[in-house]
This record gives sequence, structure tokens and C-alpha cells, in this order.
Amino acid sequence: MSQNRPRKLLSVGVLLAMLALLVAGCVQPVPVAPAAAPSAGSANQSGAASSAAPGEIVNGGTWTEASGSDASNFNPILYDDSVSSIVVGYLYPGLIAVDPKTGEYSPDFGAMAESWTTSEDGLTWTFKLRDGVTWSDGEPVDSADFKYTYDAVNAPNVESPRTYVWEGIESIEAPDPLTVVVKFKQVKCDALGDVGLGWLPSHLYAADFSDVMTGPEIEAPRVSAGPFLFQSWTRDDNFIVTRNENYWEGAPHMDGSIVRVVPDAGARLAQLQSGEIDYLEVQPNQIASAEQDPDLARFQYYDDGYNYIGLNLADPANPIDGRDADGNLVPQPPHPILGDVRVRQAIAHAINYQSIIDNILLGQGYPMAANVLPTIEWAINKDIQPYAYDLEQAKALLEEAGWTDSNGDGIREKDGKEMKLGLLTNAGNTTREDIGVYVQDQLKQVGINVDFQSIDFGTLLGQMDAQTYDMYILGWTNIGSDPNDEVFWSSQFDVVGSGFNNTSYQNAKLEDLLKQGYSVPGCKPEDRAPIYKEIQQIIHDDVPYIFLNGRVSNAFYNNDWGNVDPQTWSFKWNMHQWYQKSLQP
Amino acid sequence: MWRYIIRRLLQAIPILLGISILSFILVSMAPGDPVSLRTAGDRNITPEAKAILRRQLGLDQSQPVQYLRWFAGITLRPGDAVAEFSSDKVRCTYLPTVSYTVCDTGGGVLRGDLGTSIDTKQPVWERLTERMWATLELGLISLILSLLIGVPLGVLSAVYRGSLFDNLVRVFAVLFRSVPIYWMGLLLLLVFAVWLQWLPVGGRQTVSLTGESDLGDRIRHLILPVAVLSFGPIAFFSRIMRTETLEVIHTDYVRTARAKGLSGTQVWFVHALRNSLIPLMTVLGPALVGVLGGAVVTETIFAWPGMGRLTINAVFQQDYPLVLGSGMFFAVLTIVGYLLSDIFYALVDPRVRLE
Repeated sequence: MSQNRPRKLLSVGVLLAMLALLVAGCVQPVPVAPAAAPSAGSANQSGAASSAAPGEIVNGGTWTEASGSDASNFNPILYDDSVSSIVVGYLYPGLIAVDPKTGEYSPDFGAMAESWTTSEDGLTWTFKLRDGVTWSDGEPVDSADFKYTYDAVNAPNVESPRTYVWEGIESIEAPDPLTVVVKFKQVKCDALGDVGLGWLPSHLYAADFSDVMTGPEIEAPRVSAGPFLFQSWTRDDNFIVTRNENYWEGAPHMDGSIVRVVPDAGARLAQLQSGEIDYLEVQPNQIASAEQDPDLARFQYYDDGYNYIGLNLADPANPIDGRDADGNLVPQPPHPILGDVRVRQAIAHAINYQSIIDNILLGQGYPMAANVLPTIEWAINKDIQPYAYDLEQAKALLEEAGWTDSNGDGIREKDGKEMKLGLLTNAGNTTREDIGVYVQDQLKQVGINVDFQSIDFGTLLGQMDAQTYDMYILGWTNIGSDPNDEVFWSSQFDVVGSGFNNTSYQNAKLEDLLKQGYSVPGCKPEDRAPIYKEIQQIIHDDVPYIFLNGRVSNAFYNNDWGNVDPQTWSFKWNMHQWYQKSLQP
Repeated sequence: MWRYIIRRLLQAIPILLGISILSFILVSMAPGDPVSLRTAGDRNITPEAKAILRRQLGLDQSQPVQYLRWFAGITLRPGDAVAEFSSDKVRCTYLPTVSYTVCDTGGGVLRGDLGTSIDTKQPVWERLTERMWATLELGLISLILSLLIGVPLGVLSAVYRGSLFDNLVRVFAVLFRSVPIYWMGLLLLLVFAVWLQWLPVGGRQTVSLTGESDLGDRIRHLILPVAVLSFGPIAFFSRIMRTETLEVIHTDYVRTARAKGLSGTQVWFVHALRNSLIPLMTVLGPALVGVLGGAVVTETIFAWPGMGRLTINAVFQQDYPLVLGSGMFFAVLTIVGYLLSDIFYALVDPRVRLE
């Protein structure tokens, strides 16, 4: 697989907390704070008076958060869940960081690279590192740590979920302690994220990588080069970090931070309201309650995720891979109903997206026309409009496709076969369950009989992987700041039992465009934009997904903290500067 | 009695074996698999990598072979796979006659090894012992509290039959028996932790950077979950005690005791109580199991780091070894609960002899 972008997770929304772990490995390998999303002008902050502190700031206070599930481990190349990434982000520096405002890769915001240059062919990147940064035990943080980390990912005795970073990288060299040279195999515009892994402190590990999987650092890291030091981890209960007095950007004002494991969403809100925790991303139905609390500030932003209905374009009775062993396209036997693009367009017209946003998402969403989020401003095709809610148009398209209600029972038929489709989602996610019921009702109005079921997440994944479903409702999140999403649409990823193109979507022209999109020499947005705009038009017309809505997230936090400056790509990017107002004279 | 206890314990072995097979069948019938769950949303995972992960976990094998591995620590692989699966811990031998490779993993339940958690890579036994004390603390305190409150309530209810007190107790008993634990938990949380802020919202103790927590703090954290967990059993015990006491007070020996001129308190609490306790003993074992079952929900609401949450997590994560391990834990606890019930029964009722 040649996908080389920050990873993405299947959103599990308001599923029980433990399901958060399922979406393992989906956080961008970027130090300090998991990625949020670019604001696209929608970010909005209320209730926070985060001005600079007057005079000398009094240190102290503990920032407490709650997480639905526990961490897995604290090794930057082994962890595979978003909860672990909190600690990993606090301790391990990365070569590059994400600009909290724009989502672009940057040498600031805690990155180890001070600057970088690119060779003319765009393949060799030379990074100049910061001088004088040390681990908390006094050892220097240098290029050897970077090289060791990447060699460890590739080592046969290390089972890292990050081996994909090497797919686009030809070689990594460390000619001197403050220089890193990365050579890429080909120009791939979204590959820079692959050099963003957190660094292992190489001086604490064996040269042959034999203790990377087993050493004490996995569960109790001894050193840090970030704002905090690891203190303790009580499994399924909490983990604690304390101030790193020697942090190179300046020691944090707070004494430390605690993450508590609180599985129940209602209990997490209760903890926020009782002041036991300082920060929580709340669900749409919790906003009204949280808003009434005068001690809380709200940060609302465009999430970099969306909800969609995946449509199976191929025959679920006979799933086959999209390519053969030689890489040639294998034509897919079409789905008896959804194989016809007019039917898919009819479904797209039959759903009232604004109604879903207003009534089910309680306003926390926006309609989408195609696969690129408005947060990636340079790439979005503003000329395409979301499918209009138009039942007459939907009916006309179905008639045109040959589906008519010949027996008058309200359900259409064709060649004696009833128009009946299955629709699945994961049980426990009330938002998706509500959407499912709504869609079922809407499609019935145009004569499609939908059998909607919410089933166990594992079962759903099994059916998606096996490509034996008709339709499913799910969401993507942490899409990232690059528009390349080849894995969803290319037949290369249409693999039965695995692979993300489980809709068996196949369009040779689109596949070419997807490749062109990320291999534009120079990778300039203005050069890439026309390609992505065309891609969006094709996906909009072909309807492999019904795009339900882009997501808006809401974080509430204790307004006793000063200097908090949440940005859509990172809430905690300047955490070392935060201070507790009530402690100040 | 000792012979009885030993015999019951020996009888428990086939029961546990049966439970383990049944749990294994149930777990392996669950759709999906742990590898798919863990790689969901990982755009970079290849089908080959998934296959390797499945092979490492032994998920590519038939269910009986997987059970054999879990139970006896023996794995079977078709063909010569000695090189692939041998390691410091695993000894493999190739049997050319049947062209199968047999590996001894050195583990297996038979050797006291419950396996390794897929999620945390820790031994299952370690995961269980980490968590069982929290659950036992919650469960036992709730059970004792329920007895201490439920039994006197039931007796007093019988003594003052038909009074306002009796009616109130009966109404509340029905109410507490019928209200779902989940709802009750969130309600108490809202009132006492969010509105009044008298009690903490969750956890087993206050978590602070210094890590200090005194007994008072621990008790404050216990109040809400114990209360939620006790409502049901209190109602249950008071109902039983009321019925039994009413039955006992019409018996001859109680009448005799009264005729002998004993005080009301003596009659009620010395003569009547002991006899009405007998049926209570028979439900004590199941009640213990019920309380621990309730802990699954209570622990989730109150972020209590116990077995209930561990099990639920394991089920959702399809962490097979952990599901089976905690299943066995609850099975053992159930067997012990029923055994204790029988023993108490014999202690309270001198007519019963455990043979």
C-alpha cells in the first residue's frame, strides 16, 4: 500500500468509550496534541478571557482531562490509539509539527527541525535541527535519535504499526548530530507527515532494537524532551505527567496534568460540570447543559471528519478484488440495484441533509457536496452543490432506471424483483441509529424498501471487509490537511477481506487523477487544485458515498485557565504557557 | 462438612470445564475478529499484514485447535512450521507421518496460565488480579450493607405489618427492585455530585499529582456506587425477610416463647430471626453473583476500575483470552458463592448436615 498520509480513523461517535480503542492508530504522528481540524472560518470561541497574564505568572495547578478508554502504551512507534498519543505528544519530540491554525507542516510549534531545504527534483529533504535541546536526563536530542527511531520501525524484531512510513522513503541519513537527510522514492505531496513520528531516546535502547518492544519505556517512560515528564500510569484509571523544568520552549506553568479514564459519556459531562475535569469534547446533545455552566468556555470548530452512507456498487453475492495479481483492473459484477448510477443519485436526492443536521446533529454539522472538506480551502470545488432534497427528481431517476411500482404496494419493482436494500450501522451510536431510521423513512417515500439494522461494530466491519452489504452509515475523522484520499476510491484498495475501497468503486479516469494529484512536481496547491476539483466532480456524479454532513466539534473547558488559545488543528499547542487565573495575585 | 466441601470443589472441575468450552464457543461465534477491529480505520494496513496478525494470534486456525491452545497450551499447524513458530518459549516438533507441526507454548489453563491479553499483551491473570480487588471491595461492601439494612427492615416491616412504615418499606422495595441501575446511577450522580457537589463523580480515589489519598477520600468515592449497587439487594432482602418472618411468627415455638413471657424483642430477634434467616441463606450465593453482575454497569458509570469494566471492554474489543479469563473468574465466584450459601445454611439450621 502506498498511502502515505497521516492516518485516519473510523469515527465511532458516541459509541461506548471502549470503542475508542478500536479506531486505534489513527492519530497523526505529531507532537503535542492530537489533530483537530482547520477552522475554515468557523471556529468560534466563547466564554474564555485568555489574555496574557499580568506581570510574573504564579506557577501551579493541574490540568485534568477525561478519556473514554485507557492508553495502550507510550512508545511513539508502537502505540495505536488516540489516548496514548496524549502522553506520547507530551514526551517525544518530532522532526516537524502541525501548524495549529493552518494544519500545515511547520518547523515551529515544538518541532525539532529549525528549517529545511528541498533538492531540485523534490526528492531529497535536508532538515537542520535545533541545537541545545536535551532529554530530561541531560543527553542531547539529535539526529541519531531520529535515525534510530526510523530504523527501529523497520527492524525485523520490532512489530510497529508505523511501517507504512517507509513505503515512500528511500533512505534516511544523519551526517552530523544536527542534520537529517531524508530521501523519498518519488514525489508524493502528502508524504511529509511520514517524517513526523515521535523520537525514541536512542541512548536508552539497545543498538539491535531488541528492547524496543519489551523495555520499561513502553509503560513508564523515563525521559522526556517535551513539556512534561511521565509520572505514573494506573491502568484503566488514570495517567499523570508533571512539569519538565528543563523544557526547551520554557517550563509549563502548571504543575502537571492528569488524564482520567471515564468510560461513560454522561459521567464525563458530570465530571466537567462538577469541576473534576477541566476539558471535554462534548456530544451535540450535551451542549445545552454544558453551556449553562458559567465556569466553562466553549470552543466550536469544523472537525476534519464527515458522516456518509457507503454504497456497495458491486454484487454483494459475489465480491471480487478490484485488481488481479498483475495490477490490472478487474471489472466488478454490478450490484443488482445500486450498480446503476441513477439509483444512487436518486437516493442522494431523497435525503434531506439539512433536516439531519438540524434535528439529529442539533446543528453541529454542515452539508457536503463531495469528498473534500471545506477546511482544505485551496482544494475544495465550490462550484459543486450538495444534492438537493428533491423527492420528485429522485422518483424520476428511479423510473428512468426502470424501477416502477407496478403492483401499487408503494415499493418499486423491476423484472419482478422488489427494490429492497439493507442499511447497516454500528449499534450504540445513537446519532447514526437516528440517521438510519430517518433514511429508511425517506427512501420509503420514493419507493425503496430499506431494511435498517444497527449491529455490533465488529460484525459491521466484517461485512464491510467482506463486501457483502448493500449500504452502511459510518464516519471518517482525522482526514488531515491534504485532499488525497486515494485509499477510498482506487481499485488497488478494493480487496475483499481488507482494503478501504469496500464500495468496489471503479473509475479508471479517477484513478489517474488521484495519482496525478499527489505527484505534481513542486506540490504547489495552485497546481494541484484543478486536479482535486475534477476528482470531486467525478465522485459527486458517481455517488459511491452519500455524503451526509461534515462535522462540527465542541470542546468545553474550565475558564479559570489563562492563555488557552485553542486552534482547530490543536487545542493544546501552547499548553506550556497556560496558567491558572485563580492562583494569580 | 469438610468432606462435603472437598466433594463440591471436585464437582466444580467438570462444571468449570463445561463453562470454559461454552464460553469459548460463544466467543468464537461472535462475528468479526480482533484484528479487523484493531485495524479499522488504519489506512496503511495491508491485507498481508492483517493475515500475519491473525496468524500470530492463532485466529486462522479452527476453533477446536484454538481451544486446545488456550486450554492445554498445545498448537497444531499443518505442514512443517517448526521454524516459523519455534522460539525461546515455544517448542515445536514436526510429525512427518501426519505432516503436522505440534507446538508446546508452555502455557494453557491446565498449567495455570490463562493466556495473554491481545490488547495490552499482559498475562490475563495479571489483568484479573489488578482489577478483582476493586470489584470485590465494591461487591462485598454492598452485599454486607444490603444485609445490614435489608434484614432489619424486613423484620420490622413484619413486626409492624400494615403500618405506614411497612407500607413505605414495601413501596420502596418494589421501586428499588424495578429501577434500572444505570438510571439510578446517573440520577444520584447528577444530584449528589453535580448539583450538590457533596460527593465525587467517579473513580476509586482522588487522583492528584502527589498521589496521596486517605481513607476518608476512599469512603467518599465508595458512597455513590455502593448505594446504587445496594438498592436492589436491600429491597430483595427486606422482601424475603418480611415474608419469612410473617411465616415464622405463626409457628408454635414462637407462641411458646411468648407464653414463657419473653420480651417482644427477644422473641423477634432471637427466636424468629434465626429461623427466618434460613431461606435468606439460600439466596445469598445468587445475591453475591447478582451484585457482582450489577458491578458491570455501576463500574462503567462511576469509572470504577474493576472486573466489570474489564470484562465489558474485553468483549467489545474481542480480546478472547481476557473474555475467557474473566468468564472463568465469574464462574469460580459463582460456584464459591453457592458453596458458601450451603455452608451458611448448615450453620444456621442445625437440622441440615452437609454430607
